Amino acid sequence: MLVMDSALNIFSLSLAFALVGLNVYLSTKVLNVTDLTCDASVAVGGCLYGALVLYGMNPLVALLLATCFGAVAGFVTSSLTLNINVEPVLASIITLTAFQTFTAKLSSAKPVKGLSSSLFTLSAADNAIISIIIVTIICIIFYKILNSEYGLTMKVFGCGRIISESLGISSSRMLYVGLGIGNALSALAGALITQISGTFSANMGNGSLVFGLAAVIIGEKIVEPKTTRRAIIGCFIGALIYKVMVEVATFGGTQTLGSEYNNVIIALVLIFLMALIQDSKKTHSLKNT
Amino acid sequence: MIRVEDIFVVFYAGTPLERIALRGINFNVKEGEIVSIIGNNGSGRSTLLRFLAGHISSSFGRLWLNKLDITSQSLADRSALFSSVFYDQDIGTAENLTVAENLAVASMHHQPRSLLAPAINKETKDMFFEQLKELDFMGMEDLLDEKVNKISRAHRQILALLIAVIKEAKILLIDEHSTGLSKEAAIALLETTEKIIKSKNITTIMAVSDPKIAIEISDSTLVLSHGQVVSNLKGAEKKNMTIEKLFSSYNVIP
Repeated sequence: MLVMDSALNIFSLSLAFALVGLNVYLSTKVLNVTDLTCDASVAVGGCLYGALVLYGMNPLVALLLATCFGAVAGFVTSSLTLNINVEPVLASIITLTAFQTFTAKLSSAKPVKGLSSSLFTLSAADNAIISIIIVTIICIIFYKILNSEYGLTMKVFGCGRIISESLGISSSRMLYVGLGIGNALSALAGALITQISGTFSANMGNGSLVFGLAAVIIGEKIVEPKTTRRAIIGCFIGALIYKVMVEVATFGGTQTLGSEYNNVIIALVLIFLMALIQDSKKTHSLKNT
Repeated sequence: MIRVEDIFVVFYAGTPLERIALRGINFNVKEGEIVSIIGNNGSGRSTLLRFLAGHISSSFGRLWLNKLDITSQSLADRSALFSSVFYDQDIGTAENLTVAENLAVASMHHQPRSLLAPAINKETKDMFFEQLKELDFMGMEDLLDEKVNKISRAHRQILALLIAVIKEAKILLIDEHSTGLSKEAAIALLETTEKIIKSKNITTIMAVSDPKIAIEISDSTLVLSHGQVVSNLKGAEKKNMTIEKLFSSYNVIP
């Protein structure tokens, strides 16, 4: 039973991290902007959701608020980029630093007396169902938006400032909307992570950017992202593979070599996986010619 | 329609690298007119066109649209007025998108973009297919689903022209768009360009590397040298102009 529960938790967490993957996909592949804000938005989403639920708020409202707050993080980064003319990378680092205070404050929230936080004691299966429902809805909306007329203008924005402005697209508005949507996704992911794992802390967002990037890249290697739909599916496959890999490597490393070797094992498995995919593609293309 | 008044463009102003690219350019363009610009490398042709398109700003002088001063209008504001087809292809087309997507963006230039309506459906694609078939340019209609960075240079330049036509730009700016193509492709591109401009009666300002073609295709010809207009050839004067005369009087290398 315990094995089943942790397997379900790994699955639901990978769904949540796939949302971070969608954020990374949106900013790096569609908008062509290097945005590092997502570490902050995951943490802020997770901590805000956790704190609000502990204070007795309706979890759905808390989820919505947390998501909106992620969008605010995106707006901060874009307004820094546009108004004081710094590169998005630097702007997002500034946002990241500033939001740390905020998450530290939120993560010290204590439950109000007389209110039990029964929400965090849901079974793994319930959490998995909640995650599947929320993530499916979000994915459909995300896909619809990217394929809409508005989504197309976002893609044009990613092709360069001159071409997008000469097609009458306002770059500043695109940056606000794009980073806003992306970081809202990350914050939602953070809230889901809090819900699934039942805990939240100020540093829960650390490393989620790397996770998102890994999801996008592994997904790209497995599913060639010719269309938006394939790219989104790739994100989910990539997130699941990476999450399982991390868990297995962590478990195996702790059992055998000691936990300090975990990260190097993850890296080695990743290298092996990439080489395997590359190899299978090569033989495939040789067969075709 | 367009009046260019005493335009100066200075690069790296106030530094040791300072370079004056345009020194007081004056000319008028009437509606429906085709103006060609000739001049040697470094004479300021591209700078002038980039200034008109709004990619760079002037240090001095005014740009008028009829009675409206549009000197300080941003690139996005000018986009309904000007459309550019430049040697640098990234300026006229969105390279990571397909041909159909490029045309679709251009067609929604004048309307608010919907968040839910799909950008491309079968009807719009069929419509684009028919339009491209009618244009009949090197099998362009079969490339609708190709990414723009995968199609040939000639096709990309035609796409940039079509974007200009679809978004109903009032003035077309062309800068050496046939340079870098094979001879056949360049001729086909120039012919199609002329066909499009004349059939839609679009006001055009174009720089062409070959002075002979520039004089043939246009209603008036500006000769640029060292950032100044040294001659504005019109009517009979333009008719009698030969390559030899151009070379001897303005030092324009054919």
